[in-house]
Amino acid sequence: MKSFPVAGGRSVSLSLFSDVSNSRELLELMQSGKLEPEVAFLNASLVPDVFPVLAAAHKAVVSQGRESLTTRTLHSELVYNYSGSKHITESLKRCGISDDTSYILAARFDASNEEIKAVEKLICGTEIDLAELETRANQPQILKHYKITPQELSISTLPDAIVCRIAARDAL
Amino acid sequence: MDSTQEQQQDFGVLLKQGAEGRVFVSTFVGRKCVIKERFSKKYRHPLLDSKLTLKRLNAEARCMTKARKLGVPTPVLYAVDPLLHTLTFEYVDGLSVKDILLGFGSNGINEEQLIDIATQIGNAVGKLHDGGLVHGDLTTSNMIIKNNTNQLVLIDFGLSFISTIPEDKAVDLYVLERALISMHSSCGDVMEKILTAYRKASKQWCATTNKLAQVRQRGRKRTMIG
Amino acid sequence: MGYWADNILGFFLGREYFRLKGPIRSSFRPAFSPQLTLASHLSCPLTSLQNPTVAAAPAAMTSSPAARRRPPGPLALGLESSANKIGIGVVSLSGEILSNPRHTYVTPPGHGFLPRETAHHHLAHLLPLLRAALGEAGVTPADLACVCYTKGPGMGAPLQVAAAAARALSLLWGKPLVGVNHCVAHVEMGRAVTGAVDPVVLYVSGGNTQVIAYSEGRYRIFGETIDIAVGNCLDRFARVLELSNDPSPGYNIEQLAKKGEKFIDLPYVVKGMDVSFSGILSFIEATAIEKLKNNECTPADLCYSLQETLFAMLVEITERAMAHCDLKDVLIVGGVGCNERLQEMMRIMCSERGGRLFATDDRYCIDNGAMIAYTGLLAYAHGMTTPLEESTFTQRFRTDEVHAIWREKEMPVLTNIRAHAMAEVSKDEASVPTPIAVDS
Repeated sequence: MKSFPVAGGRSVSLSLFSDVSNSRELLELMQSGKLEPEVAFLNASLVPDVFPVLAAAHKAVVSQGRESLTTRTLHSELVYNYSGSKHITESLKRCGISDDTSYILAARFDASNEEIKAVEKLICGTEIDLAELETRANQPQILKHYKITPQELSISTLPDAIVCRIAARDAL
Repeated sequence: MDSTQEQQQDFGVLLKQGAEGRVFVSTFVGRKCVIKERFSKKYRHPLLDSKLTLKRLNAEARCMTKARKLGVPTPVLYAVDPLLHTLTFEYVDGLSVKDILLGFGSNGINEEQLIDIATQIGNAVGKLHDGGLVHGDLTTSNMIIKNNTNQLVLIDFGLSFISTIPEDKAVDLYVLERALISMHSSCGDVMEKILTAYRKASKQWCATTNKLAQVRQRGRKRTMIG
Repeated sequence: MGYWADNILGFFLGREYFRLKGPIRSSFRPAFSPQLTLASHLSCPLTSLQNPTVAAAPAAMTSSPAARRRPPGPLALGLESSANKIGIGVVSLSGEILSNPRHTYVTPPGHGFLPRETAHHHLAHLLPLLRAALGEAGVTPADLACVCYTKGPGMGAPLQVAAAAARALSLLWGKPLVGVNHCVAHVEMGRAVTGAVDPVVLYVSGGNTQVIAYSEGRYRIFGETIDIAVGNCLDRFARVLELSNDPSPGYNIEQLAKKGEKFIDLPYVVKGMDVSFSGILSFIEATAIEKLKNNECTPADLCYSLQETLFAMLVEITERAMAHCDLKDVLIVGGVGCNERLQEMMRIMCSERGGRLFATDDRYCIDNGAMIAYTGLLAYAHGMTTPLEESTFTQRFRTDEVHAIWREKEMPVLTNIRAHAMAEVSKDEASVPTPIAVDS
């Protein structure tokens, strides 16, 4: 697990897992609010780089500071923000995990060492390096989800295209 | 000013004080970035001011990302803050076209580079217009040539809007033409070079350039009555 | 001027009515109505000229003491008649205004001024004004270095009056002619009066809306209106509300706006450094008048909102030009430049940017002869004159067509301005309100 500063002294810790076998269980825990510690699960095949995740985290932290979260918790806000869409249910379904997701990016805000260990214990899978995000990303799925055209891709990287959508969502 | 110092602490190092706002250099989750703050104008009526500030903040965010979707390079947008009236975007390292052309004016023209820049401008504006996007403030200070790649990047979309009307596109070009004449007349007819590229890049060039001729004419006729 | 001079001048202008002699009361303003024919108007000038009740107001211009010291350097006579004002002034190269009488053609409420009637008015007032200008300045034609006139831009028929008169005087007195661009004259006059060295100039009048700055030998237009001028927009709005044209529609809007309370949202159109006003005008002519009928707002509210919106647009494009040209100071010239709300807004913008605002009052903001004389004299001092055969006038004359040769080799004229010739330069302290049209 690696920790990144976000804003105002807050940080987010990310860890990447492949071959996850208990996603159904994780989903149930999360939906019943019994996940301990609370953590955000992202469908990692939609994540080509950590930068868009950090941008989404930044946005969530700012919203929380203004008590204007759209979703129930800071962690679900991260997933919602990452989708770049205004549709909450759809966002959580697409960018979050489902019963059979085996490739997961876990994110926890301001995680202590104990919490990091607890998160690693929660997930039954192999933790791999974050650098693998780029090669393991499902590009066609990303292009489809974010509606990225070849024209845009001729001048932009995939992560930058995602960041733009995350940032501009509420200005639309 | 006190408020400037306050803002500097908040947003980073003041880079430029423009007409519309202040521009700071800072970092955004680990990347070097530019923060553009639109400040309220004390000379404006408060109602008009808040309306304009928010409208332009959103227009800029929307249009600069739309431009990228059309394949026109603009800085990557990182964040929008409607409360502080700030936009956070990618730091683009390079010189403005204004500075490059002014340099040509005083040190002699690099014809090859001039043609390259004019072609890129024509291309970029043509793509924007075909995609129904009007920049609204096409001046040479709103264009940056990236240091390593020599790629043209358009900035400052605060006055941009969506339109497919030839008139709007023609006025967009007219604004650019006037900026070139008033600031860079020593560089020769840059506009013609830009229009040559524009005609190639835009499918609807004919309607727009016809309208441009009309807009120019209007400009001359308008000077009436002291 | 002798009788024969009057006659020749009359001949040139195609009229033989210049025999009237005796003291000319420059503050006289006749109740001129456009219905009057030229002939009937001219048949009774002497009697009305001597009516003391009409001629009560003292001249607001820099009146000359009886025995004034003649300023050093060449003098010039300037004739201006491009719109609804005719003005004749005498100035020195040092920037001293020796005389600057003016007369305005005022139309009834709800009406604008038409070229033909305006020209008639100018023709009728040309000679009295000329006499007043020379008399007040205490100079004879022999003292003048050149005769300057407005070459354009403006309305054709009114322009013709000054152009023809200048030609006649030039031949009569054997003095060279200098044709002057009206817009450039506003800028130069403003610079001379305020001492602004290299400002961004906002030129706002009934016919022009331009943001100008000097660059590479010319006054370049950085921003301007895409359709109608701001003064035109105000005038036409005043006509919709049927406000008085006396002393000027803009002045009456300004006064009424002070009573406005409610801000009504109007279209705000800025494109780059350009503005557009036609949308506001059609909006206000349709929607706003409807609101007025339904008692949703008062005429004062409309005046207030219109001013706030129009001026915010003007200040915005001026600020953009300042940022673009990297200049600190602003100079406002032209008739609308007298508006104190505009000056106030501009002053706030300037102080936020650490710059200064230079503005003049109605004596110099509004079209006058001295500005033409002064600008013509600048050109003359740098060897530029207009040969007789080229002494035409034109309705269209872009500001950037003029080669401002005097800016390249600037002479230290600005420091010599005498205190009594200075306008009330409003920088940071509030200026005393002055009504706009205290004519000649």
